[in-house]
Amino acid sequence: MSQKSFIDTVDHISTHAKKEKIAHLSTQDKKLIGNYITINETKLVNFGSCSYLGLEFNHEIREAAKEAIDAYGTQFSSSRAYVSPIYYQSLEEKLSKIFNAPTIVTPTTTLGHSAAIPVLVTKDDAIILDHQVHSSVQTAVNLVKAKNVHVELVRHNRMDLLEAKIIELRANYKNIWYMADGIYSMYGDMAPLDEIYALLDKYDNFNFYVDDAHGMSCFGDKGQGYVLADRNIHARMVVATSFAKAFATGGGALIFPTAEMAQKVRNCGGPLITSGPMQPSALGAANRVADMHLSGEIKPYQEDLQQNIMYTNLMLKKHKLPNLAEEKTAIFFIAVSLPKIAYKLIDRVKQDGFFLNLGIFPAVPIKNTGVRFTITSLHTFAQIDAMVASMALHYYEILEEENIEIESIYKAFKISNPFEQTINNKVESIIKYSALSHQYTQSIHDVDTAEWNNAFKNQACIDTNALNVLEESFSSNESAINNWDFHYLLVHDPENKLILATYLTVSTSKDDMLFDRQISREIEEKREKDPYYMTSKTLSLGSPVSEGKHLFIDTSSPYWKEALDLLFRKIGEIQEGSDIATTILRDFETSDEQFDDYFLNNGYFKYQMPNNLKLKNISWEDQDEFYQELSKKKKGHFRRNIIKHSSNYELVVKDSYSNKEIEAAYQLYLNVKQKSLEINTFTLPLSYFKNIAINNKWEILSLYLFDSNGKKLSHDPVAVGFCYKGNVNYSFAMVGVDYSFNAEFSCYRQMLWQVIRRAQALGFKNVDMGYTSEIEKRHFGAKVVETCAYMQIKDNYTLEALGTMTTTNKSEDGVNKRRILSI
Amino acid sequence: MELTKEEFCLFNLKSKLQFVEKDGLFLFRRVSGDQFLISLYKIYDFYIEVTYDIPRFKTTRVDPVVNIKIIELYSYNEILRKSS
Repeated sequence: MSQKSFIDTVDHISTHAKKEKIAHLSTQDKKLIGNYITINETKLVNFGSCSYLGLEFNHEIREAAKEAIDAYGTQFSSSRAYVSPIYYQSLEEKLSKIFNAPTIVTPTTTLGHSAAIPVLVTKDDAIILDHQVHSSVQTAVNLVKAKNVHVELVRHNRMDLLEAKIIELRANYKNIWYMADGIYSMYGDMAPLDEIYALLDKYDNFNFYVDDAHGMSCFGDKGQGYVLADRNIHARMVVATSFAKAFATGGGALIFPTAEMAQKVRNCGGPLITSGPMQPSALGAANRVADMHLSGEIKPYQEDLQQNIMYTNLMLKKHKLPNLAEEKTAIFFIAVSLPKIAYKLIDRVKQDGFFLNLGIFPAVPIKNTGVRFTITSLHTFAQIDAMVASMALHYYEILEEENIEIESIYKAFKISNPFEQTINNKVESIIKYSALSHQYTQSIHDVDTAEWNNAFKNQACIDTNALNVLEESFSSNESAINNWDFHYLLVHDPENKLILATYLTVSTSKDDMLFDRQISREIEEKREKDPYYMTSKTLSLGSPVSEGKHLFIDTSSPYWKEALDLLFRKIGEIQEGSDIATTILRDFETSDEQFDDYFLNNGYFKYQMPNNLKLKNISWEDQDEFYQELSKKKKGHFRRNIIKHSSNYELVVKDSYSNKEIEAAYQLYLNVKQKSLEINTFTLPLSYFKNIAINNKWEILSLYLFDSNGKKLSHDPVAVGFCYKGNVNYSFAMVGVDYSFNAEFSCYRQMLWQVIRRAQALGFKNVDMGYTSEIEKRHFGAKVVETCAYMQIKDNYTLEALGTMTTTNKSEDGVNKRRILSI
Repeated sequence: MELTKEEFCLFNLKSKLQFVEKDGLFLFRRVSGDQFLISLYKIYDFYIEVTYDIPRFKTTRVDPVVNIKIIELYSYNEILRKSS
């Protein structure tokens, strides 16, 4: 997935959320009163605030901020490397007492990470990022990644895997840094500190960098946060924290085990030298809040918060809502699975007067979308009671409307349902879909040939003949990689009219299939030892080798959405039965907003497929006429690369091939495959090519090369094209090239031309030219057809692990793939 | 949504008072030893006594009633309820 494609995906999801009026909102209040905010003319109780102790309205803190402004103005504009206002010194002294360790104040936590990490981590070190560590830590890590510091990702909170990585890396790196959050901002779960401290004691070059932003002030007798509440800082540990949440003043801090380390970061941490300082108002307020922490005034606030958290947990249990958060934290995450449920739920609860947040991709896997809300000490039990009751009412109401069983949500989150099941949803579901009839089968032999081929008459490789070849080729092979499962679904309306037809395949695919070439190159090196490295089971609309519109859907039917619902239910069953990691619904037109919304609501994100090339409306009769249709530039290209060598080539298309000929053609295919990483798929098996060779709708174009004396330069062809004769289109599916002749005789280009000429000779008006080699194909007048796919990834880990491989100085794809939505 | 007696007891005094204010139904009041004003409430499906310390001007206890015989102590105090 390219940077552009990823940003487009996130942009699409954010735009959709904005359209649904649940993201990028603005308050209308001129003055806030308590925990109410007004949005779109509606007064709402705010369940989205991270100011967990509600200190922002504390009179003394506000007065302290005002006094600091009166004393120092609205800002003290000087680098701290030169001079800091008096408030800094006193604040850092107080904080060092709170944390019982040397502390530096930073303008924000993000800048704190950017100051500390490049100073603490050297090029001889390795970093292991927890899969869910906050985006701001990942951003800072990118700074050292650019200096070739080794960075890896480990599954969230998996201490067994972390220890394995420590053991693997410790001999080769001076220090190993594990970077994690104290309390995670999405699911509200916590780092397993006892186990991490045990690892710190066990491995002498293991270090821990932890962001405790969401724990600050809420835990510890002095409000020192979750991480340091019950223990002192470890000698090889650094804690970053935030004043922009429960501390309520803005700013951040870094806590170190030694004064020397603190001073080094103060001296050398870029943002601490060059970025602006905290404003006097924030510093004044922070000093007052620090006093409250030291004096114990903070305790009643902490207690109120814990009481509210306890009550919320009780209410969620009583209302049987699937809450994923841990019991101590103020962050709650209600599992809803599909975005459409979350959008509706947030909207309806908002209409009842409560503001909640959306937890969606890239912060969480898209099928693990949820409603995230926070509790503060300002909430009353009455507010919590009413909000949870509203959420429960609408939650189950929406599940009924959407015919979704609560069980499927628990399954999506891999948790068991602690509550008794009901059969209501199942009954509703059966009633709703009873108007439609559907046929599901795992072989094309069971499908009505005429009906299927009529539905896909405009597609080249999706007719029953092509699918027969695929089924035969990709079953009973020795290697599991070459065995696919086929799934066919046809849905008919009450008059037995076909409204949906499609096929899907389950195959093992490379996780980097659509990623940057640089990444695939790195991974392929590891696959030399382990061919299954970073591979997973993928469910794909169509198959890994076919292209075109694999979904026939009659959108003029009033039942088309119900038919799609049936398809999604079938997909869900296949996903569950085959342990699918990635689902790709591909080859859709990019501009279809109707599908965009539908797929996004059902838990798929959109991304741009590599460009597909098509040559359309062939009207020329011979080479001269074709040449005349080309632009001046393309004519030059055609003369230099095609006409110049055309007398050296002979095209052969045979009715039958010997095994040796097929093996030679296959070898040429392998030459191309080994060079191509743009769409990084597994190499197709020889059996597929053997079946192609004996199928009358497939043909193999073989180009033989001769010198000027008519002597064959190679016994075997120098290029082969594997083409399918569809009903309307001629499809150039695969190519093989002998690269030893390519530079001098433009074998690949000659093959492109011969494919086009062959299509014309057979009477085809359109040629599907396939993906990749866009510039080459455009030289022959092929046009780009932009297509998109909708993807669902069960677990973001793989996506992010691939993201960590994109070093900023090596790849165009250094974008942070998570947490684009700020939280 | 109602709490059970056991759940109610998990909360601190301040929270219990919030529940009383939100969901409690005042029934009777009695005076104990000139120092405590004790009020009986029904809340959810159980009863609680709220103890107010008169000299200290603060509520000091909110406890579920465990012995039903305690109701008898309120017979005289019915007058207090009517006059309150």
